[in-house]
Amino acid sequence: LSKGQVFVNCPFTPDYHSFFQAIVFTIIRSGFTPRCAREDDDGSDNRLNKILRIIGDCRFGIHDISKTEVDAESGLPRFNMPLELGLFLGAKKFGSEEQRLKKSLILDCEPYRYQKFISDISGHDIHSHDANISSLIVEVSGWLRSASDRRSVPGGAKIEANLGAFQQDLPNLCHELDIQINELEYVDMVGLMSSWISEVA
Amino acid sequence: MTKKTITSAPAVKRDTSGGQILGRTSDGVRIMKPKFSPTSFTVKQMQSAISKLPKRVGVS
Repeated sequence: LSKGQVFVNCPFTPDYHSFFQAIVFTIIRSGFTPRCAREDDDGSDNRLNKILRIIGDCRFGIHDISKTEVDAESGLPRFNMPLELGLFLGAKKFGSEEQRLKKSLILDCEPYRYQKFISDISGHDIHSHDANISSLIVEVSGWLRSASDRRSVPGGAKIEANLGAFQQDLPNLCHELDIQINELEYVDMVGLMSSWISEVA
Repeated sequence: MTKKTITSAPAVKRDTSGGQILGRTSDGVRIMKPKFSPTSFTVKQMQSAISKLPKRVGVS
């Protein structure tokens, strides 16, 4: 288990992409390593096994349970985020002494909304990002600072300014690399963010 | 007989959690090397692209 790795449990849908990008950028800019199911595109690896392996590696977990609306095609909500939150909480509860040191940030889009659909987590401190990227960055960076006790984690306003500068540079970077922004894989984006932050920020 | 020169590989910088350090920001945050490398380009190409960006003032 690494105290520098953060499991990102959130939707990978197009409408959440800018939120996902903000979470990943904030984690890297704060000095941590993001981990998520998208990092290793190996079709022969069972997806749940991959997620369990990542959860086992990570001291910290960021879980956004805000996406509860039903899918237009199936008429059903997606349950992956609550499932992975449950796996993370289970590892903390029943795992080794080291696994019991796990810490979670649980995010929703409105305060207390979770009580209507996942009331068993009442008693946990659920943070609201109000479906707003600035609030999300403030919540994630503030939580990383206090959960890790690393005072070096910058404030949300600084990280958001850095993210804006990175997004301005991204078209130029993609032009140089002869790739379209929408063609970037998760590992490409993490690589670009990490190198850009260490060179420019 | 010539003296054999032993050269050691450059030391890899690691933080206390065992992760490899990629660099450091101007405010002192250690940026970690990602667990996986990019698949669409090389690290060298990426660094070259970043070095060609116009210099910014006061980003951090």
